[in-house]
Parts: sequence; structure tokens; C-alpha cells
Amino acid sequence: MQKDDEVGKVAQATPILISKVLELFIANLTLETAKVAEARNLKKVEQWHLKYAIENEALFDFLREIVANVPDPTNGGSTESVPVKKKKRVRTKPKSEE
Amino acid sequence: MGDEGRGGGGVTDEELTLPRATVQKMITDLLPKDMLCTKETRDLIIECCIEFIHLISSEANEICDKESKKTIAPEHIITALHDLGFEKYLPEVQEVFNDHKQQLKDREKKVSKFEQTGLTEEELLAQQEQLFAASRARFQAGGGAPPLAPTLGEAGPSGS
Repeated sequence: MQKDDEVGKVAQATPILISKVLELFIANLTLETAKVAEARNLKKVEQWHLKYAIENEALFDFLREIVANVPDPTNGGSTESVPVKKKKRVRTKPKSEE
Repeated sequence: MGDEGRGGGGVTDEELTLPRATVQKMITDLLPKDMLCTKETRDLIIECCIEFIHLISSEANEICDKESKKTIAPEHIITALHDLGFEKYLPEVQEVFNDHKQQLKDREKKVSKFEQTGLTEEELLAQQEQLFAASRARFQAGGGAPPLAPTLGEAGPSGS
């Protein structure tokens, strides 16, 4: 959390809550993704299942950009996995090197 | 506790991640036994988690600022979750928060019990030593009788 320049101090209990929230989030995301795979009788959970789950849940709208470059096999794209690109985030303080 | 000592500035977003093995284990535990998750999908899930943390942190940070506070408190996290639509997570999160508060209270009780004797640590240690010495003395005087029954040194079965 504190890697974000805008975030200052964090209370002692806060990371404990964040851990729990993250567990719930991972469970939520994983289970929604698994449902997509199961609906197609597939045993292997692929990236595009995750993309589909994200696009079908308003709560996960903020994740759309992350899965944007995952090809959608129903649209004629391939089912090959794409390497995960780390999202570049805009920081408020510019770095000293230019 | 979990301080990584990377401190200071200069950490780029490319270095931010979560422990892969831990996340993999969670996913495996969540999925039905006959299903598996590809590595690429797992990495994508990790990216989603990082984004999620940023989202919650930013929202909580704003809420914190609005209250003119400098430290992000659990209450700010809870409000953030609510504002962002993650209400379904709230009951469990609240439970964790309450457990934590309870633990802190219990710890304080233990500390204050210690402080209530009004003695310093040295005095308490000295008292403890005296108790040990007394106990030893009784033990030796009883010729090896069990310390639990020092007054029945002459021993013999029964006695009612």
C-alpha cells in the first residue's frame, strides 16, 4: 500500500484487514473464473475464462484493462496464453531520470 | 512483522507482486479437485490483486484525507469497500477487525495486571526467587516427598 506515493501512514490493524479482503477477492475472482470454465466442461482454467468473468461482473470493471490483451477465442482469437504484462501505473511524482 | 527493508524510494511498480506459491495454493484449494489453473492465469490473477489493493488503498486514502487524518485506519478501509461496491466482503472483514480489537484488549489486560502489582521487574523476580527457595526448602525438608503435599511429610497412605 505504501509503495503508492500518495499513501502516508497506515494503522497497525489495516494490513490485517487488507489481507482478509484480498483473500475474499481472490476467492471471488477464482470461483467466478472456474464457473466460466465449468460451463464449457473444461478442466483447465485459462486466461480468457478470467477475462470473461471480469467482463460479466460490474464489480470487476476496474480489472478490464488488465485482461484487455487476452485474446477471446469466441471471436476467432486463439486460446494460447499471453504473457502477463505488468500494468504501468501513472505516478503523481515524476521520477528524477527523464 | 512483514517488513521487507526495501524502504525508501526507487521501487518501481514492476517489482510489486504477491508471493506466487501462496496465491497458487489458495487457487488450488478453492478450485474443485479435478480442475487446475494455468500459470499464466495465476499470474493474471496476481495482477488483478495488485490492482485491487491499489484501488482500495487509493479510495481509503481519499476518505482518510477528507477526515484530515494522516493514518489510514481500518474504518477507512471498511468505508472504501462499501463505497466501491464490495459490501459482500464486509461481514467477514468486520469479524477480523473485531477479533483484532479483542486481542489488543486481552493483551492490555495482561500488561495492566502485571503493572497492578506495583512492583518493578526486579522486585517481582526477587519474589519469584523467594518462592522457589521456599519450595525447594520444603521439598528437601520433606525428604523427597512430593511438593504437592508438604504438610503430610510423614506420608502414609490415606489418612481421612
